[in-house]
Amino acid sequence: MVALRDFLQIAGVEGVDKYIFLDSRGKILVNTMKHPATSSTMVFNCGRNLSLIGRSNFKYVVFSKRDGKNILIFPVGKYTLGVVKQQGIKNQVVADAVLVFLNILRKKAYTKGEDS
Amino acid sequence: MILFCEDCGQKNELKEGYARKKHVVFRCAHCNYLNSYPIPVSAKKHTLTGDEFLKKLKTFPEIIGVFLYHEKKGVIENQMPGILQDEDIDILGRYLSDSFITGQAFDANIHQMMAVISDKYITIQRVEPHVFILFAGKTPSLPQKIQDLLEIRWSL
Repeated sequence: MVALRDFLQIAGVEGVDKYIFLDSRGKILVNTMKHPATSSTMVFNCGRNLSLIGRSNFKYVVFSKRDGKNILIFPVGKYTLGVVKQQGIKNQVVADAVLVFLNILRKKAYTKGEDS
Repeated sequence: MILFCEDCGQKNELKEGYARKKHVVFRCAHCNYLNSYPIPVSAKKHTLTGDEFLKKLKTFPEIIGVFLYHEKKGVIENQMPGILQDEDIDILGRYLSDSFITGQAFDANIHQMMAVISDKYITIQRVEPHVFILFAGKTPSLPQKIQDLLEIRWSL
């Protein structure tokens, strides 16, 4: 498991405006959302639904909004990450940047596991 | 006819007469912003049956398959690849529409959802109060031509 302080660096990932990170039961671990309680319910339920049909092949989901502040949800093992993207940036750019960030964290967690 | 404000994104319900015009001008009831933008003419509306319309959408090279899902009745039109069983398509429709409804309950400005599963992009959009259209595609976004066809048929 990666330390939450490593995870907080997601705030600096390209295109990320706000984020929420949930554990396997939907409990909020870290967040910068305006309405964390309702956001966590939405992110957790949608993330779980899509993981059920896509299983390990589910990569992410994008909810497109008319104001451009789209919401992206990523499965992170048993955890779920929700991101609100900045206006004016393409979904694909944010999704790729977040996936790269999550991969770095996974590798870091794997290396730590090997060391210990 | 429902149109969205370009400034605040809120819904505005306009009289039917607006639908026949190629260009609409209206003041947003929520933020008072003066909107002015072109809309597609809906004269071609419903010239094709549901099945024919989906077959037409499936001719786009970016599209692998498409189906219509009703919240209560399940799959009502299907042009998905034959390799998928009816039950699989029904499950896909149920879970994706559930997620979409959950998203819209959280934020009414959500108008489309796209899930990436394996190397496929599955897009869902509400076209009628209880009906959704789902596309399985090879690219993350639907071609503009498809969006135009949806707008013409359902005045989205």
